[in-house]
Amino acid sequence: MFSEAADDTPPNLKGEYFHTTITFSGNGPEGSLNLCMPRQLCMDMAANVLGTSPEETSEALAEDALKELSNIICGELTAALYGNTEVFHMSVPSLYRIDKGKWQELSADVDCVKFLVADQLVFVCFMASEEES
Amino acid sequence: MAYNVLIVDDSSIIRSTIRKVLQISRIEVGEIFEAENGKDALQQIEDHPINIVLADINMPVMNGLEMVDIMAQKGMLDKLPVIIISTERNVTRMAELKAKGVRAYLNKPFTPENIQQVVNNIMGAGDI
Repeated sequence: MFSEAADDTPPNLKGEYFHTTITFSGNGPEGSLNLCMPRQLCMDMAANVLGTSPEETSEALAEDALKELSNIICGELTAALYGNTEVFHMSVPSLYRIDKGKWQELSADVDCVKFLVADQLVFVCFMASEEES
Repeated sequence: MAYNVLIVDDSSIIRSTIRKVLQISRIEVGEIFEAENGKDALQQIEDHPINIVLADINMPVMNGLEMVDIMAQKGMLDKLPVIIISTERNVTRMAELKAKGVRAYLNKPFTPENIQQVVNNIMGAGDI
């Protein structure tokens, strides 16, 4: 699967979306990562990982795939931003099923980055703050 | 000799992926057991003959660090190899785990070759 930048064209949203949230906290930095994908894309992704077809993939596995992806992205981002000596506690990802209205509300955040994967719209929001010492 | 493997991860897709990798690899795998958290894993170890454990860190109920601590206290890590597979990158944490007796640490995302190589190195199965 390949990704590309999404332009400002209003998205043609339909169907259900899976939204995950994972939080992280350390001695200084803390924040969260939110990732949202169309349900079908999550099914496709899970099928790709397992080497099966989307039809053979359960929704439970698709949900797990998105949670694991958010886990991996959060780990990579925190390491890239803060180095590999900072100890972080990361939460277990939470997953929510959302509709078009909620998708629009969440994706309106200024920290939200939208892109296309397999012509389907995905957004990710990464927010972090550092406690003042 | 066939190795019985315990996969410990709250993610069903990770457990399925690791299971598939083990099954198609040249590692001689006996039975594969699965656990969703450290507490479940310790029970599985008590109930079944396990030769190697592949475990995540971030899990509900009991995480991988807590599980390793208990195994270390009971002296289990000398005879039962544990490989941690996690998204965490912290070098201090990796060093602490190795000092407790964890045999290897793999980062997610991993490739099938990563898993094969680490398991083979630990179990002494030779070339992949």
